[in-house]
Amino acid sequence: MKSKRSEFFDNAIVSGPGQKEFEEKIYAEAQAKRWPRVAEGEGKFEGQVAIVTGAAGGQGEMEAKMIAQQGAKVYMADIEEEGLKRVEAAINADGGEAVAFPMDVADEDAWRAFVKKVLDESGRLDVLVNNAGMCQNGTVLTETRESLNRIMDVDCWGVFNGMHYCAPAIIESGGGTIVNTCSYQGTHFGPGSFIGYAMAKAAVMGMTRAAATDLGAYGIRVNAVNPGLVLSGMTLPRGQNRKGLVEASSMKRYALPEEIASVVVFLASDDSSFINGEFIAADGGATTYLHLATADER
Amino acid sequence: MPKRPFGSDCVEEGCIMTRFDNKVVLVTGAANGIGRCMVERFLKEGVEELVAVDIEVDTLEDAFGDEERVHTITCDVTDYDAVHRMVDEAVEKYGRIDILMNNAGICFKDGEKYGMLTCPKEAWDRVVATNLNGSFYVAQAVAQRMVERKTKGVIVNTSSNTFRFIPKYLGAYPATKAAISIYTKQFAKELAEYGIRVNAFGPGTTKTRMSEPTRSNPKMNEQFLNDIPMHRYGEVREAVDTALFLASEESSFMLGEIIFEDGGQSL
Repeated sequence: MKSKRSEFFDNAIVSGPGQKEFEEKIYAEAQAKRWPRVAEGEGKFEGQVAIVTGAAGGQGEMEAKMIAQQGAKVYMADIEEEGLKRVEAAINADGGEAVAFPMDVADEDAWRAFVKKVLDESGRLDVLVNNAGMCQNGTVLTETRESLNRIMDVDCWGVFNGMHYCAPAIIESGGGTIVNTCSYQGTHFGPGSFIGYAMAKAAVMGMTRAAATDLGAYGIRVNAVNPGLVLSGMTLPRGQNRKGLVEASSMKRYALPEEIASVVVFLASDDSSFINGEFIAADGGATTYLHLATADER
Repeated sequence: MPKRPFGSDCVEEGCIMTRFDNKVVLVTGAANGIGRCMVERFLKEGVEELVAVDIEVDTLEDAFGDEERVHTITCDVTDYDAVHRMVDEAVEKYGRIDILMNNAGICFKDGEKYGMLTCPKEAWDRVVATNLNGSFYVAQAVAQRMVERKTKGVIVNTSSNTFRFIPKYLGAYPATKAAISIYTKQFAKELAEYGIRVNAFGPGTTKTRMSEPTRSNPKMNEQFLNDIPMHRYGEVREAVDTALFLASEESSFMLGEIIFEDGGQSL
């Protein structure tokens, strides 16, 4: 029996005629895939409340769907209201619980209102997935301090805001998990010129480690996923950057959004209950580098 | 345990499989600690064909001798020919190996005895022979059978967090675990074209026999717990959760990655 996934893997051609249409079709299929709620009492997040940002599409959508599938009530933030409503409807139709909250992660007032809404309605918060992000092409020569404001607001400060406003609520709920979304661009700076993206993602790596040490004693684990190239609304229009990245990865393909979401589910759930401060690369082998000793002298 | 395996297209009611349906699993170092728990968890998740390998024949037989789904093999992984005989026996029994948990390893601890100034040659050599050479023999032998039989398999190596934060007086142990992490990436890059995924996990101080000397030494115990942001040791269950995540399709886009599972001890 051949699954749709293995068909995708066999056909994940990287360039040529029809590639764009092929990718759009695969992405539409990935979005249409259903993630029905597992039997009551058998999920990884039973009785828990989660926040997923950037949930209107791509890997954020799958993260929301898969966390809801495993029993959590998922509050979803995104700046794209229409997509968010679509995901909310899909999750609720499949027996999960989802609430859409259209907002800009760079807006601190919105974060205060969001966390207040979650606590007022559900009384607790267990999981935060900081997934919202944007990408912008530009080099050190072409970008300016001003032109980088927006990407730093979203990709760097958006993540800090999420941790800053949600951590007290998670502590109050007796501990939980935070999963940030990083990128190989924060560590490796692969093909393509994205200085703003690289700066912001490197900052996310730093704040993930710092928060992991700060919050460990409160029973909050903080980790990050480093996705490689994933089919999403962010990468679909960037076909020109894709070829080099696929070539650089050992698997010679890009990922379905659900393959990153499954790593996030692992990091957000008790399956990873002793993992703290880690960046988990899910990039098909694009960055098989070593985290050598970075700890202080002991 | 997920009731609906990741990646399954099936959405109908009652369509329940586990994430390791129809997989043949080989676990080395299966008689104790993390390896033994791996075998127990694979069985719990419904694996029907499992090969458990260890050098400690009595412990292995006590643990799994009566379990029909487990085929036990006694093997010293430092013996190249014995490793190939072991892998051939496993493949003959079940036709293939889908998942290798390359877990066998040893560590010597005794105060400062195994420090770099004093570590006896025999102890250094034995740790290198088992952890580095032995685990390579197993990984290579299994990878060869996977490629021969076109099995799109998974290899999960057991590394350690010790090569990232380098505790004192562990002899060759951190160096061998660093080496395992490097060859994990070498295997990963070279086997990717055959559809074989190779990753590793690096447990921190876990409540096993191996870490007993650390945990029972008051001074080291205090220092270790202080260094772990989560202020506790890892449960064997937690290390195995990570290992099984890497063995499953949940990690289908992960390749050549080391997951440190140590409560933040090596940050």
